[in-house]
Amino acid sequence: MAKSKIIFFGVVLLLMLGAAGIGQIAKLARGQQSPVPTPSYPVHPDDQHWVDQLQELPFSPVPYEGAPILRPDPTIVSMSQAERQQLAETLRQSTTLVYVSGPETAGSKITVVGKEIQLPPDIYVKAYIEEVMCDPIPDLHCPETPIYGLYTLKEDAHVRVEANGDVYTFSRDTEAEIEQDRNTFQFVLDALDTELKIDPYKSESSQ
Amino acid sequence: MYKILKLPRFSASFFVSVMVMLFLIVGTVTANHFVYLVEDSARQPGGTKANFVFFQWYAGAFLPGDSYYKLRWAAQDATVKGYMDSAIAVWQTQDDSLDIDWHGWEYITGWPQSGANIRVYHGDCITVPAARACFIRQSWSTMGTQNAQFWHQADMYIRTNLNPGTTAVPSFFAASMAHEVGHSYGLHERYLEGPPASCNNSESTIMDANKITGSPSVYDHCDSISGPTTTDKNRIEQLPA
Repeated sequence: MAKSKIIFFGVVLLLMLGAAGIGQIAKLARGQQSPVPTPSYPVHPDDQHWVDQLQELPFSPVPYEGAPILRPDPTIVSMSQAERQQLAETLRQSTTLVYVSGPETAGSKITVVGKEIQLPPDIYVKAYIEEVMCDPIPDLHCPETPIYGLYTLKEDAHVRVEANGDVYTFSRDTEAEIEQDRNTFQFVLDALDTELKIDPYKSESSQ
Repeated sequence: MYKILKLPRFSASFFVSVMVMLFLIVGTVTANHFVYLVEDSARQPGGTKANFVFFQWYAGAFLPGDSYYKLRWAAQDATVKGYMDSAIAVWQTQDDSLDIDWHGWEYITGWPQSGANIRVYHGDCITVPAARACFIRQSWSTMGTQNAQFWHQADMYIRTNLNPGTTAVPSFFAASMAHEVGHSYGLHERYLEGPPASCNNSESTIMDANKITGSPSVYDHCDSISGPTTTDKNRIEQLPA
């Protein structure tokens, strides 16, 4: 009797351990063995610090206090279908739409090189440019992103404010137009303590 | 008596064990994972505003009546629509090993189409006429409770004129558009910023830049590809299917 009990509980124990083991193996296969899987591709040296921070991120779909701000690669966290649906519903009910380009941004504040700039009511962000792809032409100026394309609502003056704080006028044919850009956006130049630069490139045709 | 009780005790324990085992196994294999991206704080309007930025597939799901993710896009003309169709198609070739729904693109007619999540323009990038292409954010959805941002609408621009005396390989504009679609998934540039921008020779990725070679000059993608590589796919989803 004692022998059969031992065999019986042994079988039960093995089944339990097997079940737990299979679960862990499956989790390992899904990459949950550590908070963040190690990238399988070469990491650009400039990005290594992001990867280092990434290793500290917990496996959780919910941001935690003090979570590091990371670049999107490598990508990291996953959510279940139920979590995804719940979040989508929460978003539908609780999010606020924020315009970063378009007339709605007139009179808003922008931040460039850590400096906050208040736009007048008649000036808006026509384009918040997150990425640009430039042709590799010598002496062609490829701006740092993100870029704010600032325009008057009347569109009679405009400048490009680049991520490093440089302010450019562009696509201008006359000194009068350049002067109008300078005068209109003098508050930006003052805030960033810089002079207006001229982008000489003019596209021959957009099509 | 003992024999009568023994069987149920054994069966109950066995049943519980099997159930536990099934629960653990089934629980792991049926999880449908979704990956979201964490974005460079430098590219969030106003600097650091959110802990997390989800890539845009959620935005498509915001519309009432949708049962699943849809990314609605519109094109300014047939030329860029053709490039965009090709770009979406080449990205979808990466679908097999991914958990996310890559088939949620939906073309909608009308221009300018205010209801589109992505509008594809044919022409110079606003404020950067020298750019071959650019990606412009129009609006975000923010969720304060989770300190998260979700982009809702964006515009792509692609310029298809070439500098005088140059030509392009057939896949050049398709590659440029595939590059922009990569931005819509949340990927950043992988080339070395300039001036001028130069190729990144450490990896093969559609998020690299363009190159000009030969005489007369010919435009080509740095890695001579027209669609995403495994590296690009891995960056979007790190977790195995």
